[in-house]
Amino acid sequence: MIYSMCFMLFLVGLYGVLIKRNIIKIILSVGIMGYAINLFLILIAYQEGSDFPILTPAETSKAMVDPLPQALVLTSIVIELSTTALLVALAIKIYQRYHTFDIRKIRRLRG
Amino acid sequence: MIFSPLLLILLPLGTAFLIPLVDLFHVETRRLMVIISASFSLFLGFAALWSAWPELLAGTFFHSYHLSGWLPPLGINLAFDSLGLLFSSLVTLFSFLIIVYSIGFIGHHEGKYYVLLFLFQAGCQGIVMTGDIFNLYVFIELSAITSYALIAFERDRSSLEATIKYMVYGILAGVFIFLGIIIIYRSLGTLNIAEIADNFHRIPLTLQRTSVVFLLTGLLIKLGVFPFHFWMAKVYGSAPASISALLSGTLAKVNIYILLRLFWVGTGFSVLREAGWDRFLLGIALLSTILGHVLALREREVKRMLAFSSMGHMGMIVAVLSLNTPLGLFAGLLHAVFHALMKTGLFLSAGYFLRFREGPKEKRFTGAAYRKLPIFIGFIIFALSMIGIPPLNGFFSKWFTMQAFLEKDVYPAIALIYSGNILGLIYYLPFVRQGMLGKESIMKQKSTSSPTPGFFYQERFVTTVVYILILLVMSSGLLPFVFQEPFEVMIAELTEPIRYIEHVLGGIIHE
Amino acid sequence: MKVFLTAIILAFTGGALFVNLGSIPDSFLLSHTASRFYREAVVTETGALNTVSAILYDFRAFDSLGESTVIFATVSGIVLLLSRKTLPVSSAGLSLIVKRTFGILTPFVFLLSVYIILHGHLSPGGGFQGGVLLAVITIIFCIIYGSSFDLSRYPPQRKTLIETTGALLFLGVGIIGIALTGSFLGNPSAWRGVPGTLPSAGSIVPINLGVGLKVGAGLAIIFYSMIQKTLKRQ
Repeated sequence: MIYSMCFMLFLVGLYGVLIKRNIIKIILSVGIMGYAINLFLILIAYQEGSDFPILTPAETSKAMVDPLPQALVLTSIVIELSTTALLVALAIKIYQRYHTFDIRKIRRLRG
Repeated sequence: MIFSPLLLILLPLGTAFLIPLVDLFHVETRRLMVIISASFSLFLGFAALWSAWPELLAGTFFHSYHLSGWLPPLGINLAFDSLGLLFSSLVTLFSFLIIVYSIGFIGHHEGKYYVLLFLFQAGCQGIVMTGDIFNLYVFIELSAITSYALIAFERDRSSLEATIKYMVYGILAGVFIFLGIIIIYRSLGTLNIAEIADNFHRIPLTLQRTSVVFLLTGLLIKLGVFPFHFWMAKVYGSAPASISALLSGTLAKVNIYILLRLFWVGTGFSVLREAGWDRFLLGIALLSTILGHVLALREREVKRMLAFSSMGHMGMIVAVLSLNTPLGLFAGLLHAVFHALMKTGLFLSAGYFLRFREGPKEKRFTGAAYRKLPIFIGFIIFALSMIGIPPLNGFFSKWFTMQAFLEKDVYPAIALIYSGNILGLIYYLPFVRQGMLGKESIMKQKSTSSPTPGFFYQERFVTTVVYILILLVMSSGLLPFVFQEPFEVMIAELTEPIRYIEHVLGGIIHE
Repeated sequence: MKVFLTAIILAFTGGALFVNLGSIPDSFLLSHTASRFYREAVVTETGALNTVSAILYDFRAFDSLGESTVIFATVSGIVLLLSRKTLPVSSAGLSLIVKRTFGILTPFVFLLSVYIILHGHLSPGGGFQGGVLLAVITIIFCIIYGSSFDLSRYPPQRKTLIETTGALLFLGVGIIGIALTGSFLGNPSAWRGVPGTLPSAGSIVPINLGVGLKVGAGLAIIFYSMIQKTLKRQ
């Protein structure tokens, strides 16, 4: 089942976020999780034997896949882009202060 | 209502868009524009509350706005009921107070700070007003991203570290909430909260429980309930005091609103109860309460102590809400409002001492009583209110909380609340004592406040806001009965979401 | 310890996800869903041919407002984080061949991005996609011609001006919608035009333009803030 591949990808991303020590790897794992969710959302939209949701000027409607999750995916991609950009900016700033990307070394106070 | 609640979202949004433009041309007008916009928002919030008050008491208040002209579920709608009105008023009030406070508090990089602050306000207003679950997610992410940027405002080592930690937690929370939304959409085909409320029971049971688990996990991470509390102390400790006040006073309460809206109206509390998860929620919330109060004991820095105290009180709110009795819901909502007032006051008064005096962070609180006695007295008043001394407002909310637990025979909870109070006394006392030390050396120190062009000294803004909060805390303690009737209306709406569904969809649609 | 906790979390999440593989219903439980309406009536109701764009900018335009605001907030946050008082610039670009090639290519990139933005309602694309391409032009300037070239052509003030123009354009279209249709971000039927032509689909085109400007300028500002740190002074 295709959905299970999606879930595996999500779990890989989740593993990366929780285990990895390098900030850059954490950012990449967040990206992988984002891809997995967007993929899941698009897979949900599929209907058997239907076409893409763009009409030609000639027709008024046709059998198409569900267009709503595709709009949701666009929004989700933009939001994840913003989060990734902010994380990368933080990583740049942290590298300037600590000269390392290892989150264990920058953990000074216990949270 | 005399005007559309949409204005409460659009005004901060428009201001935030205009600020960079104004910055390019004339920097001093920025401050004027900020004050005008914040005051106008506050005025609108008051006008909304005032005009809606009769309807609110009669139980008929509901304002629905169809965006883009499409009826729900085709389009997005704003579903503004009495619960939303309460939280929207909270957001408006606290945003106004924090903005005025920040005028005197933040000395540098003001342009971007105000943009983020207004966007945060717009995001929170959007959360409490929307009737569409994906729109809720978008606004949750908006307020989350602005809060990430605001926490890193000081750009020193501890802020950056706190922001990275909070961001990872926040991203995980957002991902889980999004997963829950996707599962609900795949089963039902709608994204409208009212339609979800109407049809949630038709989803197969495993899917119901999975989506509830994902949504609940995401929300618990955002609320900071055990075991997801690890970000709280670092974040509240390293953010500027105004931002800590905003996060713990406003964002945490908006998260409580999301909890109520999603799990009482959206899915129906019966899902949680039948799976036995309301007891699980009660358990971890109580654990979070006692853990928060215990961990606050060993903190030497005032903002970190306040962070753990927040964790304790939020745990208590979630615990009493999970009882799902009318008295429990009343106590939870009341404590949410009162705790917001008290905690904001605590952070803002502590921020005054940390900002306008020099020295390392642990020492700055020393001699606070002699630097500005009224603010220090305010700090003591807020602390006493948190501990639960009558006639301040903390006493009433804790009283009702204990009554709610007593009604359901949850005796461990009552013991925990009592011990929480005593622990609160123990951990607030060192700071009060520290404030009264060191009299001689303090008198010689000067203030580091500087005049802002065209207005009063910076300090005046800060102190005025703290005085307003002292006034609010004391008056809400003396007049707690004001809250009784409107809250009862809200609780009735929460426990029976039929009215919500009817108002949004225009008639019950059963298929 | 950390590995153990992570394993538990992964097991729970994986279990919660996989246990549902069998019970996902074949179709939606509701019979009159929004997506069915979108599929059947998009041209008659909005005049756009691209259903996804119609959903994004007409039916659920408020979501797009929130989403473009997220980008705005991110830009402000990143500028806050990475800003400095001095702007280090360098004239170091790539070799002559690359500069000459991109001298010819860059106007076509611009043309493509404007095409994607304006034809969002007719073909795949829209404000966000085209806006990203607009930002690519700035990136081309920075990498291939050196950041001093970018500074002279598009100083940060100009980028901020473009960004706020886009943002206010989006809000303005929404407010005009109140005047013309009675609700915020409504699609005025007076602007609907003939489906299939460029000036059609009502307010979708101005909204696309606003979003494209906002996203393009925003991403350009983000890139410029980030590269300041790594190029050497000359």
